[in-house]
Amino acid sequence: MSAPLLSVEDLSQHFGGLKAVEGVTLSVSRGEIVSVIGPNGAGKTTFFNVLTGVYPGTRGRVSFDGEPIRGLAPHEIVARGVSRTFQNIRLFADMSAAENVMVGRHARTRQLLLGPLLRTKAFLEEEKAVEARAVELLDFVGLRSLGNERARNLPYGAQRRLEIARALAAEPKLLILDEPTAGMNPVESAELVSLVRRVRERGVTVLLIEHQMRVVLDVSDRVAVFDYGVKIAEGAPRAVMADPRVIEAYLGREGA
Amino acid sequence: MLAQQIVNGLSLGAIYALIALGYTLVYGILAMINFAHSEVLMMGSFAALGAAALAPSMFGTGVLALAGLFAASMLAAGALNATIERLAYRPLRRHSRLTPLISAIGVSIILQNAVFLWVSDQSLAFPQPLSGDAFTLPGGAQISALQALTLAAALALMVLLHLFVEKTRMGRAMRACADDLEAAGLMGVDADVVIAVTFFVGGALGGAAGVLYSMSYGSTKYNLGFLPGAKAFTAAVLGGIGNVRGAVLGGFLLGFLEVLSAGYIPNGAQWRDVIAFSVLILVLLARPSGLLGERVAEKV
Repeated sequence: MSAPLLSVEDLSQHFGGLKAVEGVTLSVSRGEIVSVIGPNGAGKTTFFNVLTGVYPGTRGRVSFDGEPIRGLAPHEIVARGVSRTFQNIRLFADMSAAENVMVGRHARTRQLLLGPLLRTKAFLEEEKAVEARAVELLDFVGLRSLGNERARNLPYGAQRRLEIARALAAEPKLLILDEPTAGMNPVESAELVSLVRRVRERGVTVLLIEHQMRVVLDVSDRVAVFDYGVKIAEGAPRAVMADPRVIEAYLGREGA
Repeated sequence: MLAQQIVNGLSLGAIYALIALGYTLVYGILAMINFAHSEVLMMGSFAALGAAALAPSMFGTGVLALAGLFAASMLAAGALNATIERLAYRPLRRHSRLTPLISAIGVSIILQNAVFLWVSDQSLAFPQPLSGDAFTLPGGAQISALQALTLAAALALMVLLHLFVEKTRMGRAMRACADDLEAAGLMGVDADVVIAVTFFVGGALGGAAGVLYSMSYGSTKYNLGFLPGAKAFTAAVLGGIGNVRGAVLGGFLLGFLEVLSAGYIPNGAQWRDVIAFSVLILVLLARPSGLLGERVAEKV
């Protein structure tokens, strides 16, 4: 087996006395879809925030593609090949859907200032490629006809899919999805499951936080369970769901 | 002479608008008032004066002298503003919002005093590259060469800014950062670079205003920036701070208000600042987020 794409060892993130994430070890192999589940406040989003550079982490190692990334700035982590979506949609609301995707491409373009102002050939070619890429990604997530719509005017499910297109624009090796089906009905959730599978077919590894158990069972190769900042279980989806510690974390101890 | 007042209001408003853009661009991204912006335009004016001292032909008249003054002031003011951000604001970015504000006031005092102590505490003659000619417009209003230049330069810079923000990749990144700085970083945008460019652009616009303002007085001084800076800040708030169109609208409105109160109210010339600021207060009572502002409440 080749080295894992993402390898997290003994990672902690403390805020004062609060141990939001404590001693988490987790690795994700290339091509896997791994779900992180757990009750609200279990530290899942904080964990993702450390992986993507929002928080520096208090202790531990995160290596991605063989190189340490903990403590890098968010845009540097994107450049290494990790991009993400958000639990609460954070699109650039006043930009068009296509522009949102083009911003996602920022990490993969060179011509920033002089090229665009002087309309150099290198810039124009690059910009053309950026636009073509945006169209391709909008098409991929099923928003081809909505490229010129302002993001804020898109329906909710479309906004979720636009976030995925924007994240894919950075050509990630690892895509991190924070509750991609939040607020979706069963039909929309099923569509999202198939989208996540197609993302993997593009060669992108996926790590997601998910609350809907049906989605978790459908999409995951492996599941890690968090509770109170600690990883309490990990394994194949059905085995994890049957684990007494997991049931206890969700439902409380019987008779307690 | 309403036509004359309109001409005067437009050219005064254009200067306020250029300065107001510098406040609003920075606020749009960092939700911070750059109180050193007044001094940035003053330093731009001194940089132009310094360049003229090195190349005395800039004291002459003509397009080249004019271009030299603008280039020196805009480059210096832009670079200074970006440097201030790097040294005095960036290290404090994750602190309470009041901290960089205090740092900005500190920078402002330091720059004023540095010029006061090391350059001059007096008014220094500023180059006058334009002839004193005035043109008569249809309707009988007179427009001086300087007023015409002010309007043309402000308009050209505003068009350039618009193209930059809307059509370039850096502009797109700026809009993304203004919307959600953290999310932009997580999408691969280097926020530090975008912020530095924003300060440079805002400073350069202030530098252009500094040259125009100094030319209108024929001199420059260590405290040159204070009054137009305060007025332009007012204009930015009036228009809706953080909103680029609002800064332009606010600048022109404030210019008109001042000129009209000076022209039509007895003793108005003395009262014009009082009148302008009273109107500002009234507008903000009715529309706290400014005329075109939408989301200020969220950011403050």
